[in-house]
Amino acid sequence: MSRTAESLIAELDRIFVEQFEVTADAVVPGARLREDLDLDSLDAADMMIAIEKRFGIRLDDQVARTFRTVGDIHAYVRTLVAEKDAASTDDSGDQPAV
Amino acid sequence: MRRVVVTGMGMVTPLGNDPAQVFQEVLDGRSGVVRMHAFDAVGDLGTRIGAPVRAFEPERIPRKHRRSMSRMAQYAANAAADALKGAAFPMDTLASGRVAVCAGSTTGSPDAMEEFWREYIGSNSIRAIPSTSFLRVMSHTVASHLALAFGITGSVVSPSCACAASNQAVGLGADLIRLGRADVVLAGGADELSVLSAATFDVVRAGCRGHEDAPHTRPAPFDRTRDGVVCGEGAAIVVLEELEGARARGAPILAEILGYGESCDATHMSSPEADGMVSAIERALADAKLTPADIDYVCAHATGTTVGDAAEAEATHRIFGGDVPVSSLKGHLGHMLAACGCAELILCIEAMRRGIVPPTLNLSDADVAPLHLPRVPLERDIRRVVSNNFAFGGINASLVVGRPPAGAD
Repeated sequence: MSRTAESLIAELDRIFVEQFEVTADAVVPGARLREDLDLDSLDAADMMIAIEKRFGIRLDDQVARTFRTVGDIHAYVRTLVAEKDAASTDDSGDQPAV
Repeated sequence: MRRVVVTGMGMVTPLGNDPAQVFQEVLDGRSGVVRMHAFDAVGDLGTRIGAPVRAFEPERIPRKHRRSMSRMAQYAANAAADALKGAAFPMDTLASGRVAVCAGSTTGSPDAMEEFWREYIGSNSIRAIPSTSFLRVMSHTVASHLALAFGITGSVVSPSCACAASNQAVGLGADLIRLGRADVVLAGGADELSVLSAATFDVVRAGCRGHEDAPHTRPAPFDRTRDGVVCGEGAAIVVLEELEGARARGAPILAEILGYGESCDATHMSSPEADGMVSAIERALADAKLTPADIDYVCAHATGTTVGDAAEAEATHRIFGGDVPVSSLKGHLGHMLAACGCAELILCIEAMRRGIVPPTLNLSDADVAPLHLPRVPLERDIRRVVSNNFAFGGINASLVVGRPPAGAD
C-alpha cells in the first residue's frame, strides 16, 4: 500500500527525532544536517540503515554522500519509495491467478 | 616515591549509586540479587538469578557520546561523573595531558556482540550493522568512552582481565602516577549483565543454579552450601591523584593507595590456586612496605564457588592467620565482574571512614580454612585494608589501601 507524501515525510522525520534526538521543530526541509542538526558521519551511516529498514529500500551510497539538508533526504526517499511502490504494483499485475 | 590518593568515588551497582548509601545497605544486609526472567529465553541455561543495576541516568551523557556507548560504558560514565564531582575536580584541566584513564571490562559489550552476530549471521550481510556496533564491541570500549566523554587526552589503558580488571586498573593507574606518567587517573571498571556473561560461568559449571524462589539467599561466599557465582553488573570509578597535587588544590582526600601486587597461577585457566593468591597478597604488602599485622580488614574476592572460596580462605589464612576480620561483598552485590574490584575498594574506603567491617551475606556455616568471618557488622578501628580479586587465567590482583595520610583531611 502506498503512503501519502505527508505520511512518508512524517515517518522520515520521526527517525530524526526518535533515533537522533533532534527536536521535532528543528526537522524542517531547509535544516542542514551537519551545521543545524549536529549530525556527523557516524550518524549519516546509521541514518541510512534506519531509513532502509523503515521503508524497505536500498539507498545508493554515492547519492547519500551528497545529502546536505533534511529536504535532500525527503526528496530522494520519496523517489525511491515511489519506484518501489510502482514496481510492486506492476509485479502484482503479473501474478498468475491461482 | 610519589604517593597516590583517592579523591573521588563513583559507582553504579545493584544496591544503588551512592557509596555511603550502598555501604549502609550492605550493613543492613540487603541483597541486589533478583530473579532474571530474561534468562528464561535460554532453556538450558542453569542460572536464573542475577544482580542488575538498580537504576542509572543515561540522559546525563550527551547523545554524541552516548550513541556509541554500551550499557557498561554508560554505567562507567555515570560513575566517573560522580567521582569527578565528589573530587571537586577542575574539569578544565582534564585535557592537560596529565590526566589518564585506566578502566577495564571483561570483554566489549555482550549485548552489542549478540546484535552484531545476529545481524551478520542471520542475513550474511553487513548492510544493517550500525556504525557504532564495533565501538560497543571493542575491548577498550569503557576506557575510550570515558576519555571521549570527559575530554581526557593523556594515556588511555584498558586492562581486560575479567574479575581482576578493576583491581588491576587501580593498581596500574597508581603506577602511572608513581612513575610520573600522569598526575591524575580515572581508574576502575564496568561490566553489563547479559545471558552471555551468565552463560560463561554456567558452561564451566561455576554458575549458581536454581534458587529462583529465593534469589537473595545466593551467592553464599565461604558457606558450606555455596554453589556458584551469581553474575552482577555495574561500574565503579575512582579519581586517583598524586598526593602533593591533591593537597595543593585542596582536594578531599579519602584514602591512600599504599600498595599493589599481582601474580599468575599459571597452572589452570579456571581453577584457582592458593599459592598464586598468596604471592599477589605478599607482593602488595611488600609494595606497601607493610606486614600482615598492619592490616585490619581483608576484603575477599570470594564469589561463592566451592573451589575458589576454599583456595582463597587457605591463602588468606596462610598470610593473616585467623584473627583479622575477612568478608566478601558478593553476597550483597553479586559478582560485578570487571567492576567488582573497584566497587569493593570504594566500600573498603567507606568501611575505614565508618570504622565498621561489613559482614558476608548468606554466610552461616563456614567450611573453609579458619578465618575471622564476622556474621554481623563489626565496629573496628580500620587503618588499612587488603582487597583481593582473582580472575580466570589464574590472574591475582591485590590492593592495599589506607586512611588518608596525616595532614590530609
